[in-house]
Amino acid sequence: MLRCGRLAAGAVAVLAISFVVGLPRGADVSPAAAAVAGWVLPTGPVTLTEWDGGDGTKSALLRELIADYEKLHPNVKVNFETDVKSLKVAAAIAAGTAPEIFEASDANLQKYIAAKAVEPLPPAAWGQSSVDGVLALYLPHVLDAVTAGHSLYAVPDQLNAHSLYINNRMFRAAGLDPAKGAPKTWDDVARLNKILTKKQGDRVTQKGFEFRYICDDGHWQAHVFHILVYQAGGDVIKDGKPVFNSEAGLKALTTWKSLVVAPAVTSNTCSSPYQDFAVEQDAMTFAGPHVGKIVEQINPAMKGNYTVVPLPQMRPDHPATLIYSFNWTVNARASAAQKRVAWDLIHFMSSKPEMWWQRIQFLQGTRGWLTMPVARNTPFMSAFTHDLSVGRPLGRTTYYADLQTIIARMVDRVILKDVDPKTALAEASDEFTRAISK
Amino acid sequence: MWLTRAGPPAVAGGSSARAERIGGGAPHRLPVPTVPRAARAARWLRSAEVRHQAWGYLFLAPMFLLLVVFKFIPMIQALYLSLTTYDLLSPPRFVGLRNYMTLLGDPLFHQSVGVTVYYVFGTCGFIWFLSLAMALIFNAPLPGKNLLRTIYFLPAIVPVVVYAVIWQFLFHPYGLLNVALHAVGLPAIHWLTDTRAVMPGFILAALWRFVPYFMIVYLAGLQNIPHEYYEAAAIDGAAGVQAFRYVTLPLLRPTILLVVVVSIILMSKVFTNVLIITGGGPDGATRVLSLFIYQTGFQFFKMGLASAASIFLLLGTMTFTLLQLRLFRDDARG
Amino acid sequence: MPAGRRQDALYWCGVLLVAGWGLVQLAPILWMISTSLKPLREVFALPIQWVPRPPQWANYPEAWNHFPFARYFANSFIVSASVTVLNVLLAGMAGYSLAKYRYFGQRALFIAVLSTLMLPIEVLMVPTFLIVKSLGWLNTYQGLVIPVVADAFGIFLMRQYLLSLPDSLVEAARIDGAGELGTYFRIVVPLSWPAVLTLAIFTWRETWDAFVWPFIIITDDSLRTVPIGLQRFQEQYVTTYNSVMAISTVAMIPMVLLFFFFQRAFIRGIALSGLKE
Repeated sequence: MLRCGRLAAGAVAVLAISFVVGLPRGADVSPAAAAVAGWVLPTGPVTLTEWDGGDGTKSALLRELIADYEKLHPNVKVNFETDVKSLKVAAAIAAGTAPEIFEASDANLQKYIAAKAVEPLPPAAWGQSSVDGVLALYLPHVLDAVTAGHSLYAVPDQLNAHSLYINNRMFRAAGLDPAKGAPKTWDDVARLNKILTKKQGDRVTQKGFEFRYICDDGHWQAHVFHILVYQAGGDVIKDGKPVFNSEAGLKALTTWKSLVVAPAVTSNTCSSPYQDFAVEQDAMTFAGPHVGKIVEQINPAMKGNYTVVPLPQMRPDHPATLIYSFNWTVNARASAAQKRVAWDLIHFMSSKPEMWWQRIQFLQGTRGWLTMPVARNTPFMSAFTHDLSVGRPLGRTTYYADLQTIIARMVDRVILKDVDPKTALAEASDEFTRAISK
Repeated sequence: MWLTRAGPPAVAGGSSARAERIGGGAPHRLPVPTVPRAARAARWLRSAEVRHQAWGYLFLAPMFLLLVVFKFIPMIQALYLSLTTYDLLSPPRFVGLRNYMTLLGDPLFHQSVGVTVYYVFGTCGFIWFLSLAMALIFNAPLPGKNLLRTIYFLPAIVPVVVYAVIWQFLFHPYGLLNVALHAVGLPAIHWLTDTRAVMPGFILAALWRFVPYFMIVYLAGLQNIPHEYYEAAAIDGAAGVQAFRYVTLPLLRPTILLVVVVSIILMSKVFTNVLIITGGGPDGATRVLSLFIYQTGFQFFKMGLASAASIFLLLGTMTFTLLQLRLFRDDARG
Repeated sequence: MPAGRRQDALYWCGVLLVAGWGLVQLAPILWMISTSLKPLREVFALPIQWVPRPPQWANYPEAWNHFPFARYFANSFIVSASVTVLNVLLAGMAGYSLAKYRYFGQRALFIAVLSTLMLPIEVLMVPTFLIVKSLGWLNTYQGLVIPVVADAFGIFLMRQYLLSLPDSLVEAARIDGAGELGTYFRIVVPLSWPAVLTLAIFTWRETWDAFVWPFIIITDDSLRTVPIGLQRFQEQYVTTYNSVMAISTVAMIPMVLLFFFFQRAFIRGIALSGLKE
């Protein structure tokens, strides 16, 4: 316990130093500075379209930022469209009607990069002379997932690392302190599950912690599997090939199995995955920084009723979690003038991290602002930044969608059908090998 | 000539219902060539036979044209794409029959076919009989018929998103379905996490929505049977079961064929509710072909493979449809 | 007499059974309505509270005003009505052609028509999208209507219904000199009113609930339809289910009214067919 705490303190210290180092460069990022570095914008009229996959509050913020940008650049007109799901983006790219700016998850981005559908980011738009310069504006590794070769292809509008959310009331009712009694390891979680799970007859009325199973595009299963494999010291994908059929993979699945309570007892859905935590059926859940607001939206009584701590670990001396992102990308088929304005607009929108945090609790992983008072005074920020600092991206493959359904199937087999984890791992590895050979 | 096909209506003679529908008659018999060519052609053009054929084409043409533009051309393109590798993002590349071979050797595709067949016949077997029974009930005198009929029809008009949410909620281990099971002394079922239970659950959901849907189809078929037939049958002393056997059933045959074929096609394309509720899981137990095609095409970006899978789906439903047309002796020959 | 009474008892048992099962059919719909009046945290609460306490009537105006639903409903009306009229008209004629005419290639044409029903929209979507784009119909009402009119279900339905219409009636009309169009519109259509109405209600239902096609080709908010509006309540990580249920309840009203009207016309259709002897 003690060692673990010291380590966490160490990690925070390292992080703090990196912020300070990053600060000078982070601070001079502004459109004006960018213009100084020679990023010349077209002066004639330019019309752009931006599609975003996000929801109400996010689109309100984006509309506002776009309006501000249009005020600064009267020659630019931006058509903004919200609620655009990836299906529509794919169809539009195929038909050549995709907009100049569209949102892409890091998982899909690798595919777009491989097909040259998206444009590499020009460092000059960020006032930098090289890609390394732009990378230095962000926390270490948070842009790994949007980099290919020596090029950067996007920056995140939303960057998440999974942390652990704890329900204060339910913890206190069980005689636990939400902060001090928070689990540090998955073994702790399994122990707490015994205390926090309540039944009436056969009926489970309350759970401690449960991973999410329902919703089988495999999104959540793949996330959890990545986290557990990383924590066990392994890798999911290496050089595009599956490497999860390993000791680490096995450890991941056995740990997973030790945490099962009652997978069927859930009201979570694909489009509302935090339902169980929000309505206080589950005392804990794993989620990113943006989820507090969602939980409060579902159940206003959750306001002030939760605590966020770093995600439990397998080996606390080697902490790891998963980071994933949604990103602004620029269509490779846009005209040269449109591309210039598009990147400038993205730079403008991504240079207001405090606004993104205060308004909709989105983190974007830039260094500078985390040392500002607004960030430091934000509750649980240390937990979020800790998890960001130990986060690693999803397995890098142009077949990520294949991978996540294969992982989901493997997890279903092990958890719901009680198949031997070794067999399931071998089968899944074969399936993925077949999928990438198609 | 073609006028011969207008045979007298077969009244109450159930076994001759087929003769009633469309008499045989040669479809396009040409006149014997005895007059000069031009005159012959002119006469032929003026002939009732040609006028009849021309009107036939004319009535079909507007819709057929629309189908050509918005269905056949896309279908031919899908057929072409099935012979290519195509990721939607870069141009398709011709690979011959490789996609078909890949699918034939893919256990996940086999599973998907199996799941689809299970779902299609699991639902249709019930739909065919239950919806007919329901239609017969609602065709009989019944107090408050209009209200009841509307209530029965409601599930068919619930927006598909809500249909999915409702059933997801019903499938909860402590939801209404299990409460009902408990009431009759049966053990609870884990509808969404037990790979054996999930398909029966989806079949139940489909029956709730589609039995009323096809009930309406049957009802319209029943309403379309002219009263004279029943009156004539009554004179011959046929009523109740007899009338059903000798009047209703034979005259309903085109409707039955419609229901059988359409239900199979509709069920084989089930998609949205499965996508919303399970996304194909657990362990692929609900990954129906339509979902397989969607995931392969738009999530895995393998549109060539998805197109090939859809051609298999087309072949499957087409085989079944042709079989039904033969079985029902659908005799609108051309 | 006792036999009659037993039959009566049996009849009323049957009626009770039908009514009882009607309640079972209805229960999920009642849950939908009940959920539309609950706060978000209680939407999936078990055991079910059928009557929310207190009912959140405010959910309705809130949902309605959250997105421009007046516009979405207007669009849905325009699109559904246009598709229904065009489809019933054209599919009816095509079905009549296949049922009551004989011509060369008819069988093959019929099978070809059926085959268009068998491919799932997922594979036809991109090619159709390209065609609509080349016609310049993206973001237009034509784009929402015309490709959807091209649906073979109605052809098949009308063909099958018209097969059981006695040829003698059609012939009699022709001999009376009604002409081909006159025969169809003045004799055949009124005689098969139940079939025409069934097709209308099905086409309306299908179009009213259609999501994928409008979602793909419309990027202009002023052309969005109700199902797209419903989908907008499904945000990235949370769905306001009470709003979804509220709008869905409202969205079902036109269909229910239509169905009532349809039932009354059903009876009219039968009356006509009796007259026509």
